[in-house]
Amino acid sequence: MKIKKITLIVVIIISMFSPKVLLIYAASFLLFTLWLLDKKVFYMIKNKTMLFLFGVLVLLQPFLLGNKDIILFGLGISSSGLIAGLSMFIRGVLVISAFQIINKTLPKESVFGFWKLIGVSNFTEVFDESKLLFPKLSSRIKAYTNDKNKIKFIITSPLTLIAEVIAATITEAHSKGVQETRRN
Amino acid sequence: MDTTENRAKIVRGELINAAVFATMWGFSEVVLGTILNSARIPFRSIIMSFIGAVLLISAKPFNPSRGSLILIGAVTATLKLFISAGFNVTPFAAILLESLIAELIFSISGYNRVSSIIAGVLILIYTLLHALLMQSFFLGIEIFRVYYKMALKFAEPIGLTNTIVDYIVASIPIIYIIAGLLAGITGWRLGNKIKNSMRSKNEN
Repeated sequence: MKIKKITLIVVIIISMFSPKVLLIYAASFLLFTLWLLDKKVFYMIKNKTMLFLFGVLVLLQPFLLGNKDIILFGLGISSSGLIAGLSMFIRGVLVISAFQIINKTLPKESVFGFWKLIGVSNFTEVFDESKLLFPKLSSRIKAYTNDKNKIKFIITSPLTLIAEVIAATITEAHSKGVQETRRN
Repeated sequence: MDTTENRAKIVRGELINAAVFATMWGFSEVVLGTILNSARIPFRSIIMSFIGAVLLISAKPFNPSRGSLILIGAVTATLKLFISAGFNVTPFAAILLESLIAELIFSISGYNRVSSIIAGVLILIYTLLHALLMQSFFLGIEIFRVYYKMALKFAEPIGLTNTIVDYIVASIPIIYIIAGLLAGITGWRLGNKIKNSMRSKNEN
């Protein structure tokens, strides 16, 4: 696990600081390294953000920026623009994929230790209360949005409606707290 | 009533208030955040930060203890983490830093209309900086030159001069500042409205 994390950090550092041309040559090796760590890395590359970046940086940039020193199918493209765009795209792919792999390897439960480490007190109490409140708040908001009169209210006075929802939730949570204290 | 018992009751009450605000923020992050993300609405970070700033500012009178807003941020970030798929560090850090900014402002200058506006503006400025930092981190600082040059190229055929493009680019931080200002005022007003609503509920 430790080797995996170190490898990912090394990939990020190389992607960020190596020269443009070198990064293009090293791309296949670095991608292969990421693939060894996570076989789903190529599925991540196929997402919409990556395709958008590819379109902007690799396909569009050489036509728009730099000196047009190559003629391709009658269109002038810039070789420096192409190299810059390609290296930026590769950097994006490598850094984003490495971060996604890191995110996948981090256990969600480790966050509780993090709050303890930075000294957030009463976290567990408030988090437990929030977990109980979440479905209640969700059903309360649903009830408001299903009520035709309330929908009018959402448009004309949204702030008052939000205030009402929060005030009602606070009052209910407090009265429940008092009942529990009495029971104890 | 014994003072220690009274103090414990106040602390318990504040924790409940913190839970309510964190749930509200977490709910908007999960539900609205998912809708905005899947719809690919531009400048969606402004909308999410606006909501976060409004809730943080309105929460302070109900959570006057030092560090309470950081607690709200921590719970919201954890809720989002557990409800959303995967461990996404970026929104997690953003939520935490937004609550830290609000907490710092209210710790320094107390809770009033002016500090609320300052907190709102700083939270929204942070949102812009966060987006810029992330873009430069993932793609390199050159990406901004690419965006700018592309904007100039696309502006040319529709008759926009370089100066107009410069004005449009310069107006982006102003949009964030105005949004922050509105968030500050809205948060302050929401806090007062919640107080009034609770008062009328208690009277009934």
